[in-house]
Amino acid sequence: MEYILTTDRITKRYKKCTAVNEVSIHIQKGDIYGIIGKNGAGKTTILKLISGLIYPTSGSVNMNCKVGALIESPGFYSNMTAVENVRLKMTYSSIEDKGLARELITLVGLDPDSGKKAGDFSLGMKQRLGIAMALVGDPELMVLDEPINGLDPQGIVEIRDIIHKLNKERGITFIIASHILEELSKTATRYGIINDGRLILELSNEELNARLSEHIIMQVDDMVKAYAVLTEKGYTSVKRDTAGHMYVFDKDADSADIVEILVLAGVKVYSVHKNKESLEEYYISVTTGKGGIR
Amino acid sequence: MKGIIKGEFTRLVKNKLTWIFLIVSVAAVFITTGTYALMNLLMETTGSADALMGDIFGIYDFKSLYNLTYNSDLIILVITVMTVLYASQPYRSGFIKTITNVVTPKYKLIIPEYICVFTYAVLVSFVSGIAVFAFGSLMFKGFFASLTLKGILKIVAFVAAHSLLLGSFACMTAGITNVLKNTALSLISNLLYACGFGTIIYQLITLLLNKLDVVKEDFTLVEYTVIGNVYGMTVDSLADDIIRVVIVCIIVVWSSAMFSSMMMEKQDIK
Repeated sequence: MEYILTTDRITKRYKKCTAVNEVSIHIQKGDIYGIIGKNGAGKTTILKLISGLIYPTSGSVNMNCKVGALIESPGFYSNMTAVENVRLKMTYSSIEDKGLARELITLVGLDPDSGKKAGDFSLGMKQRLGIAMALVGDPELMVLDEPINGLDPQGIVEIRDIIHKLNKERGITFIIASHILEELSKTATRYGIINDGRLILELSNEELNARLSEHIIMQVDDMVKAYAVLTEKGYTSVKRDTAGHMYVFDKDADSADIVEILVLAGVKVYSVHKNKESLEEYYISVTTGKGGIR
Repeated sequence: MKGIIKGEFTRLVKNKLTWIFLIVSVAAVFITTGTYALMNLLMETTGSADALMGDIFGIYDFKSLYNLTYNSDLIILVITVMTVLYASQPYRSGFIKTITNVVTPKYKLIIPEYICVFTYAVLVSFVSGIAVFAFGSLMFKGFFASLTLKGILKIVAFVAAHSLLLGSFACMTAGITNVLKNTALSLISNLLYACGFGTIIYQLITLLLNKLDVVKEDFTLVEYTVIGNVYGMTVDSLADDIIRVVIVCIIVVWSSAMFSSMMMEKQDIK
């Protein structure tokens, strides 16, 4: 298994807190690795450690590849156009232009002939410029921190398409930190779940799908009676939430059988359908052990 | 390194403030020269025998005009503000995050930045020198009468030495700004230092050293500092003074570069 980047128990301690605590992540070449965590979990700190902006208190980052990064907000000079900003980074990197700046600007969906200064860009345009600048130097690994923050739905789709395109066509590995789990689930191939600075879990898309359990959701008139009846009949994973729903997590539970049991027991069933646990629900259950479901 | 130097000069040239401050320095020389010329005219026409005014505003030749311009805080203030704004720009804009992973180790950013701010300070100094000559010849009667070849050579040496001093001061200012990474704090501390606070501190240290009897009676620490020589060096300064200035500048630039490079490597970029 070829890893393009690993971290060996990296820790970052500040005076008042430990932002990252002995995190060891493993990123394979070609991955789109999603770092999931709530605000303040340590995602950005991990990305800063990986991209060399900050130094670890202990532990190490092991990689041997070129990195392009977009951390927090995109960094550019507002008095220059998009092309000028990209060209400037190329100058710092001693890369000859030869039309590359225009190519990168076009790739991210900006107009290379626009004379608009970057300071006048919308948030979405700034994010795109940030990605274009991160692509300077042909990086093998791209580190993106909340790349879709503040974007409209079309912008989100376009950024997602750019990521997929670069991953497939150029073989670029991505590390993407986000707290928008729904969007990350459409993009990532592997996940690292971070909570309070610690890596809780690392798993692939396939492993995650296997863990996102299917279940039956019902609305009934008497939840207490329904619970008792189903438990008596041998269903061991029956839950209730505070919003009047009942859940049956038993594997291979049949909704038709359950409805029949409840109706025969005198319980009215208002609605029933099968559902798969979302990444969000799974994340909450992994990090807090709760799900709003009792 | 070549690419980084080119990048630094590109962002210097593309920054509007670069040209604004250059114009401000010329305008400041114009206003200052004009003020002195007006005072001179008033003294001549009123026949004023006010000794104090004569001492402060009595311009008798071009040397005095150069001394007054370069020994005031006129040019150094322009350079201080411009250098702080320039050196802090990558941090304010976030551009530093973009180039950190292509410029490794990070201290490679220091020398090109120093070259850039040094060049700018020298440019401001020379442009101001030309402006003094131009406005002086326009506003002062008999300006050329006092001009001799020896005098001109002294002026050139004076402006060159001051350019070296101002360039070194700019490097020091850039170094402090890189370490502090805070525009407001850098501006306040460097302006205070440039406007006399630094000189006061050096005088206090000299007093202490004299009291401890570790230095000669005529020793003045200020003479061995950049800021002290900016205010103290005149057109009539001796060759020894100029050699001292060159040595001081080399030491200051070198030690500032070492210190800020070290801090750059140790500090996180937030």
